[in-house]
Formats: sequence, structure tokens, C-alpha cells
Amino acid sequence: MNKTLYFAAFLTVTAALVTAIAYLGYELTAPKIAENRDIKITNSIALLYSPDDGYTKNDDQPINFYQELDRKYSSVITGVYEVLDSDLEVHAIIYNVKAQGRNGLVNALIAIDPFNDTVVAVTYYEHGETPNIGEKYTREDEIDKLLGQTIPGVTVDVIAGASTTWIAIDEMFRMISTHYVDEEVHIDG
Amino acid sequence: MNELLTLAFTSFLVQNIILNQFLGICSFLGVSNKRSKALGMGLAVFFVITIAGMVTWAVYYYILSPSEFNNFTDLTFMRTIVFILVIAAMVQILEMAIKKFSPELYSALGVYLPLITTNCAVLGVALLNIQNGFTFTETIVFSAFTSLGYTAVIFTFSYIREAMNKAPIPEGFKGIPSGLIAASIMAFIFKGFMGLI
Amino acid sequence: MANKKRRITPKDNILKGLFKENPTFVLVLGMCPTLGVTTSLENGLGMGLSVLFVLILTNGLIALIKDIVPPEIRIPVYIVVIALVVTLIEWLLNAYIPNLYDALGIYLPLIVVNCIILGRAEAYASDNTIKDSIFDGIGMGLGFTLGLSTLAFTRELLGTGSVELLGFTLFEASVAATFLVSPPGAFLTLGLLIGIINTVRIDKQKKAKAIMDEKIKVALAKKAAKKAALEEEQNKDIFKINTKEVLTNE
Repeated sequence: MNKTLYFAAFLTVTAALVTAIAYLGYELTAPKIAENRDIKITNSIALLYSPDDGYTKNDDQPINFYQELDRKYSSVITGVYEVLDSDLEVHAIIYNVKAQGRNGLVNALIAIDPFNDTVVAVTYYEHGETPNIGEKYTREDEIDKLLGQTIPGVTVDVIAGASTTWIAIDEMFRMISTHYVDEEVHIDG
Repeated sequence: MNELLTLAFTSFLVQNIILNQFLGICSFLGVSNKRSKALGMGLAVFFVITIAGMVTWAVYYYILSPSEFNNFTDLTFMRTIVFILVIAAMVQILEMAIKKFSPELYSALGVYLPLITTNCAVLGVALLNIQNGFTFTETIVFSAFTSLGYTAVIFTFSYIREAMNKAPIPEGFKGIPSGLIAASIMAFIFKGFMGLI
Repeated sequence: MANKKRRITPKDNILKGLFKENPTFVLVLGMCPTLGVTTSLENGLGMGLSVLFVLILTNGLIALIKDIVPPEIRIPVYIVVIALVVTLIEWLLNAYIPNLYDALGIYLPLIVVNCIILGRAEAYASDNTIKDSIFDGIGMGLGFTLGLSTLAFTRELLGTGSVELLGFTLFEASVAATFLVSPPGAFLTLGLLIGIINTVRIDKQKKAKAIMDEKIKVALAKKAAKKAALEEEQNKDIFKINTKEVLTNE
């Protein structure tokens, strides 16, 4: 058989085999990965709004503009969720955001009151920021400074020596503001 | 435009690919002991990363993801495998093209091209483009300036290493260890750029 | 006296990867994850063990298919095999150990272009049996893990003051030089470690050479002495014969 033909055949068979194995592996692991992510989100939201107080995450979120995030948001915003109170009324909008910090990704949940456009809760559920430096942002006093500020126009205080962490947090709020304004998340009432 | 400038500045200095993100270290240590070698490698890397960044972006969004050309399935899970093959093929084609169209350029950087296939920097930048969700323009800017950061650092470093070769260094520290320590000082300097933005 | 040629046993392979040809400290390969991931002992161990698994699988697979693959296209085929293995391991980690997956970040898919893996595949697995290749993979993987863990341990201990592993705090030091967990610290620590190990190795080599030289000297001296003694014997014999002759002739 012609050598080039043999090579082409060999490569095609290899490519097909590899794609098949990869597809198999993907099908087997993707559900677990999605499940992990959902559990993580629900747990983190529960930190802010405890189910014991009647709050739930709106799992039947209507397929509206903030289910399928546009690529321009998705580098920072990984999800937008509605939190319902015990009367099943919208209580808060939670932005699940991530940004590149000093030592890896900083993951945060930022809750916005859609009626007043204010920040009502912030929690950093995963980060690797330097203890006593970037990590200071995750403490009560720094978070308190953010609560009550209005979107857009949230200013984050700069802590000396923690400029990379500050850049990350500032980027999170900027992206949230962009999304909030462009997608008209505000609710009148 | 402002954002693109910030992106360019950040990828060149603040998030410098060698001194901050640690991609491309093997070639950095191996090739930086002579100025001419370093410049050749740096230019080759610039070409490859910029073009590879654009090509892999196009492949990801137009061939692997459901799009106008791909109405079948979502193949994005084949990302890593396809990217590395695309990069390898691209480097081969690039080498042949440069050999044919510009023999002077080929003599300057042709010998480094095959080495770049397994350089972490190329695959790293390609994957980062996707991870950060860049648009095409942003991809071009990011890839170009990241690789320019590589070129600048490796070229500067070659000066340092050439000077170090003439200095009295203990036997055990000659070569790579002293190179690494010099790189750490450079990294300190680059750390200062973080406050500029 | 020449050494008899021994067949390389699995134990030899593992020891070789761990010490004599340690990928991090001796061969200086796979530097990108070494510097990027060693900010904590957990991450360093995690990366090392992932590379170990990948090495075992790729070395084994490539040794398995080495006879079927036409030599001209073997590099692309090897690359595809390695990329497949790494992608599968990526997904497995994301599904079952998501914390490690997030910690390793971009360095996990970059294992595909890690010089160690393609290097061992080309240099060893394509010429040796499956069993030997797998043990070579184990050795190199363990050596890499050792290198990463040492570097990570040093950086974490001196950089943050304590070392944490799986929830247990292993050590607590009272001083912390924070810069060690940042990029410059990575370069510095690795440079110092390699430098120290090099110095020790060169010392050892010099000592070994000195001992060898001594042995050769002694052997040569012995030989010379033997030769001299032999000559003396011959001279004595000749003298005896001569005196005998003289006596008998008398």
C-alpha cells in the first residue's frame, strides 16, 4: 500500500479513536462536574441567605437574559441567581463572580437588592490571598464598607500593599455594574 | 481603546509571562546564555504565539463550538488535544513558509521553531485566551504583548547572563542556579510594576 | 577491573528517577509547574502525583503501541496520546477533587507540553518494554513529586510560617518572609536548592574521583612493586646460577 495512504489511514483511525475515548470520558465526568458546581453555589448562597429563614434559590429561574451570560461578562461573572424569600418573592440577586487575585482566583458572591440597586451582602467563598494583606478584604470591617453602596458606582477602599487583590475586587464590581445596567436588572416596586 | 491599552500594558509588564506567570521557563533558562540566541528565540516566540493565539481562537469558536461552520455537536471538550495539534502543525507550516520566503529570517530564527511546539507559553497563551473570554481583537493584543514581554525579558536576561559568565561564581552555582537567582531579582523588579495600574 | 553489565531492574529505574536523574534538580525539566504551583505543599504534592499518573499511563501506552506506529509520524501520535491522557485526568480531577483542580489552574492542561513526559516517551518508552517503561515513569514521577514537594515545603514554611496538609498543620515557624510565596521567591528558592544540590554532587564526584585516583595510584604502585620484586627474583636467580657456576667451576 502507498506509504502516504497508510499514514493517512493510521492517523484517521487514531483521531477517531482518540475522539471516541475523549467523548466517553467527557460524558462520564461532565455530570459530576456540573453537580459539584451546583452544590457549591447552593452552599455558598446558603451562607448569605440561610434556608432556615425561608430563603431559597430560584431553581425555576425563567430563561431570561441572565441565564445565558454573554461572553463579555462570562470572564468575571460565572452566574446570576435569584434568591426568593419565604413568600417566593424576589429578595435579592446574587452575582457569582471570579477575578484573578494575587495567588489565584478570588471567588465571591455579591448580593444586590434589585429594588434599591444597593449591595446587601458580600462573601468571598474561595480565595488564596495573602494572609494579613489581600485577605484583609475578606474581613467584616472591609465588607461592611461595601454594603449599602449603590450600583453603579461602588468604590472599593485600597489597602496598602494589597493592590492586586484590590484590582480583582474592583473588576468584580465593575463587571457587575456593567451587567446590571446593560441587562436592566433593576426591578421597580 | 483604553481597555486594549490596559490589556497590552498588563500582559507585557504586570502579568509578565516569564516572571509572573511562569510559562516558558524551560526555553528561558536554556537559550538565554547568548545574546544572539536569546534574540532569535524571542522573535520566533513572538511570531508563533501571536499567530497561534489567533488561529486557536478561530478554531475554538468556529470549529469546535456550535457555529455557522459546525452544526453538529459541541466539540469544545477536545480543546487541549486539538490546540496542541493545531500548534504543532502551524509551527511546521510556519517553518516551511519562512524558509521559502525569507532565508535571512530563517537563518536567524528557523532553528528555534521546532522547539517552540512544546513550549508551555504557546499552549498556555492559547488556553488563557479562551479562559478569559477575549474577543478576537483582545486575543491579538494579549497574544502579541504577552510574547513581546517574553522577548524583552529573555533578551535583557541574556545580557545579564553573559556578564555573569565572566564573574567568579562557586562551581555548584554556575549556569542554571545563578541564572535562577538573577531571574528572581528581575522578578522583584517586575513586581513593582503591579502598582502602576 | 571493568563492571559487569547489569540488567536494569525496576528498583534501579525508580531510584534513578528519584535521585541520580531527578527531573527537577538534576535534569532541570518541567520548570513551569515547578515554579508556578509550589506555593503550598498540598498543591505541590497534588501536581506531582498528577504528573506521576500521567507518566505511568503515557509511558505504558506508548510502549504498548510503539511497534504499530510508523516512525515518521510517531511524534504527532505521541503528542495526541499524551494530550488525551492529560485531558482525561483533568476531567477526573475536576469531578472528584475539584479543590486541587482549581488550585492547579492553567498548569494542569500544560502537563501536555511538560518536557518530562514527551522526553521520557521519546527517549525511553519508544525503545523499551512496557514493564520497564512503566517503572521509569514511576521513578521520574516520584522524582518530580519529590522535587516539587521539597520546593513547596520550603516556600510554604518560610513564606507563610506554617505548613498545612489535608487540614493538619504540620509545622509552625515564627518567622515568615512573605516574598517567598510570590514569583521572585520561587526563582530564588529553586536557584538556591539546585545550587546547593549541585555543590554537593560536584563534591561527591570530586571525592569519588579522588578515591579512584588513589586506587589507581595504589594499583600502579603495586604493579610497579611487583615488577621490581620480579626483577629482583630474576636477578637473584641469575646471581645464584652465576655463583653456582662459579662454585661448580671451582
